[in-house]
Amino acid sequence: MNEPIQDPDITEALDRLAPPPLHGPGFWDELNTGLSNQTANRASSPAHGTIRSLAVAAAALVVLVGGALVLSSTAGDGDQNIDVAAEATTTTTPAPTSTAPTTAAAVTTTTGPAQVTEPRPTLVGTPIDDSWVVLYSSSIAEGDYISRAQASIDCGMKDLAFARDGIIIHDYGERPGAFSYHPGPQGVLTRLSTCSGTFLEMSIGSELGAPASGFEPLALTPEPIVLEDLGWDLVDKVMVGTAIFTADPVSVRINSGTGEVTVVGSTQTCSSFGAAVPSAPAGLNADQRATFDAITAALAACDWDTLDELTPPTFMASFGGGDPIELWQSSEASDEPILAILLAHLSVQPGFDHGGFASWPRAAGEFWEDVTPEMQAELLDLGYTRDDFESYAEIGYIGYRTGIDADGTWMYYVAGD
Amino acid sequence: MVEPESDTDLVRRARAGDHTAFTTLVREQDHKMRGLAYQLLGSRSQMDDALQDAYLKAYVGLSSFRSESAFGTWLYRIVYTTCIDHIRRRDRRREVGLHVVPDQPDVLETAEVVERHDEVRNALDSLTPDHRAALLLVDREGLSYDEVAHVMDITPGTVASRLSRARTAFKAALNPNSPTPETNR
Repeated sequence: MNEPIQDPDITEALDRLAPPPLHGPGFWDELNTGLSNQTANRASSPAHGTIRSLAVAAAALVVLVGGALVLSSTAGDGDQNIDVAAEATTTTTPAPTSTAPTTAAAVTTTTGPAQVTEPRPTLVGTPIDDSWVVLYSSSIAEGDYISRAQASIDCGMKDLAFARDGIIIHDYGERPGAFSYHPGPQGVLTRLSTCSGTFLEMSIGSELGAPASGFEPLALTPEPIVLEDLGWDLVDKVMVGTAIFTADPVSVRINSGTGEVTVVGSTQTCSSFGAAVPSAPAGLNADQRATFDAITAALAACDWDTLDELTPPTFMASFGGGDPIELWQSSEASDEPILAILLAHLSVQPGFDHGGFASWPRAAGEFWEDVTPEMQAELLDLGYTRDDFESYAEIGYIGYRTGIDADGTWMYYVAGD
Repeated sequence: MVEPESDTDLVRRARAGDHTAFTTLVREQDHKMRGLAYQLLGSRSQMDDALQDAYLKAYVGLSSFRSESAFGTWLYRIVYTTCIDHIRRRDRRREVGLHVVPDQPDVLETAEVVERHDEVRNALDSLTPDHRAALLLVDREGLSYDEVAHVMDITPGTVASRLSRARTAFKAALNPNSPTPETNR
């Protein structure tokens, strides 16, 4: 797989594209300024990149929530982070500067060209060392929250804590990864992710101004693998964000009361997306169970790549041949819910032949005269009709059917004859 | 005659805080990065925003660059992930109905609007971002499957499968009247 294998027709077509535009004026000057800032910060805080991202996200949240939030972002200057939230008005101050010792009487913040000396909260608790820095602080109704992190980790942060009125009241302990903080109309949500972005946990404060020490973990259902770009939908008063389950990113809404995650948009939708994943039925061996679980998970996630990997070259999706993925995508595009039908058929009991081959539904492996009333009821549940049964009585069951061989190989998913 | 500095030397100097070395490294790759970012994001202003972010991330993360891949491939990865982040954020802003100020068209972007009518561009725009990236990186930039796998953080097998679908969709979009495989269902 090391050699480039270009498609000459496509390469020729792409060559007809206009070259990309040059950068706008000032691009390189802006980059040099950014590099200078980063270099200055790097000298005293290796984690400035993460802090910058957090601060940018935090600043964006100020715009989102409006009204009752004061958020003084420390922006990207990881070595000089302190900020004070003093009034319940919507303001965003650029990159305040200060050192970050654990106690001090006052701090100088930079607000535009003017410098203002404000009272500084006394940070107590159990900081590990003087490398603690304040990322940003916010004031929501009656509560002051200050999140703090030890800015000495390349990827993400450790020793993450909340402080209220300068006192650490919720300490997450050593947690590698990224942290975000989302004040909104129903309280405050926090989110932790690993360095690679894997979702770890979400907690919620029950109401505006509630102490962070009372934050409760919020179980998300279904739980995403990655959850990012969170913000508040102020109209519906729910969290919105981007989640990854096992497929491409989808837009989600999170009910901040129940933790229910609702998919509202997907770049790759299909009819089985978000459906409940059935448990593997009894009678499957370990290989078959693994394949069954992989198929059903991929269906629920609309994960075309995994479905592609699960279909061997010998897989039969049509008696006329053809690539299964192309056939299924074509069907889905024609409003035939081919994958939802497959998932439904995998949700009923399979039948087994003497070699252990499993086929769904059970009726597919039987002569019609041997199909029991229970099997017929199963078919009715799947949407077949008594009229269908009359034709099956003449030519046998020719509805949708799928099978997994005893070695775990997915063999076919076909209908008709 | 002065020999041009190797990437390795430039990386070493850039890690030590030499901006000139870093911008030299980046400028060498900039045309390719603009090619990817522009085709993924669709406008110069968004391309510039993403590349500012990406280049700063690269500078910050330079200490993690182990020279196991070429600097260009490593930078591609950062640019690709940054562009995808920008696309997600852009989509989310649309999702929640926040007011998004559109780019002000300038002379160049007016020309871009015209250019977007180009059939190739339209065909490319019809692909999902990950399929578009796979197609551009292999069929335009000549990266190997392994390199694209590194850039996109997927397996080479998945690259092959995405590329296959991207090519099929791209060709279909370019030639909408061409016959499609029949199903016998």
